Amino acid sequence: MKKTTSIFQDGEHQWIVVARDPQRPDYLIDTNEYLVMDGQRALLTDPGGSEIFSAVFSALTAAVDPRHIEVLFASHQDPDIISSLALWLEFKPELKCHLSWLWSEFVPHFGGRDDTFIHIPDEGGTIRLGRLTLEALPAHYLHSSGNFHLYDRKAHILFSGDVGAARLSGDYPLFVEDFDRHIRQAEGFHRRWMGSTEAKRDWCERVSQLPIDMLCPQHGAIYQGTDVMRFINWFDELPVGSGLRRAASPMPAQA
Amino acid sequence: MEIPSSPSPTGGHSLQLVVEISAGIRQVTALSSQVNLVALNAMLAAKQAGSQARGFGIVSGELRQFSGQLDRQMHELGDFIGDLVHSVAESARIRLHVAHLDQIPAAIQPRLAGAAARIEARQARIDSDGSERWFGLGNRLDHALRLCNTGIALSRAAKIEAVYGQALAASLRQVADEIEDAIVTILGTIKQLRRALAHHAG
Repeated sequence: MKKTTSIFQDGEHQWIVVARDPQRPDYLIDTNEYLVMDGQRALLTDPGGSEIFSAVFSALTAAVDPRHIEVLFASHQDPDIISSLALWLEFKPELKCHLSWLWSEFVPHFGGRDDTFIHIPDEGGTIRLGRLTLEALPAHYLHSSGNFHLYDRKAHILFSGDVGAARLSGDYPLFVEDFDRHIRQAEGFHRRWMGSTEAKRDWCERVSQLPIDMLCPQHGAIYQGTDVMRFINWFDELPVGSGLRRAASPMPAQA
Repeated sequence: MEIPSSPSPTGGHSLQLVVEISAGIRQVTALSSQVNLVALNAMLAAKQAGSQARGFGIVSGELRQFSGQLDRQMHELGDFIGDLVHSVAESARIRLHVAHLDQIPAAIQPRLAGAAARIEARQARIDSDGSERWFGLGNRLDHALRLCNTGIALSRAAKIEAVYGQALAASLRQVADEIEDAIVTILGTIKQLRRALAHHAG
């Protein structure tokens, strides 16, 4: 079963990460789900694929009451992000799912009806959760052409979807401990999956101006403290869209 | 316990029950920790009180063992619930497949007979596993109920032993009352979960 860990708490405002499933089959990429809570109101980021629904749901249920989840946030349309949607709706049919307008006719193939989805325009927007105002920041072409990250200005936490991702073994620490060692495991992924230099530079420029204590990717370990800026600088300089030229590097099977 | 002969009407309903039971487990675990802590303090107080409170000290030690056992049972129950969620989720996924297959025009359905039969067989297997797991959950809750009854008996024994505490009798009695209250609440919680499960099965 996956484990839950609280990574931020200020009164009733909390971030919990659901990560590291030792029973996950090797053919499925490991994912991190983040639960943002304000008291009894919760939002779940990238709830995951249908194959891991039971692992995510069990882990959440052992720690909190998942009936408090009101909103799902899907950074983009990939199956490891949101193919569990039908099962979440089975649990709570009134759940709403925020995602890019671009995928409004694609993601319903995983489940949901027209009124399930709240479409985020290209320029981004805000998502209210109790007393919190979360910001959907544009991250288009990183890697998906309709892609958003979620910023919590109060907690100084950025959920960065596939940006910052690394494919790691199940027992890898939750937080990046040795940046230089870690970033080697993230490089191949970013070279291949991130296709646009222009989009990458724009993202780096925008997020470098935000106060960020934790950069939380959907795969791998969380960057915190000075490692956040180190990652942004590293990413800014990384040649992307060049993964094919590095065919010798093993690539993950799916982002 | 009545075992559901068929899967629950919806996966959503089963998941709601799982959530309710998990919340109960968290509550019981928190109360069990409280019993453990109070019983530990009681043991130390009894030790300081000397021979007058020897019996109270022994019962407090047994109450600590009780809370340890209850804690382990709740932990195992938590793991068991993980498996149960897996069954419920699998069953829900298969029902979605079946619903999609049902939308195929009747004239074409015979061409998918092989797939339909495989899905049906898988559904039967998963539902059978699920039924066994719900049944197993009931058994585990019954074990926890029996353990709680032992806990209640121990807390009453602590109240009796408190009487012999002479100068400390009043404070030992207060401790014993506190432990009994916590165990009675635990018992109530587990009974409530058992009723919810029986209602689900019915």
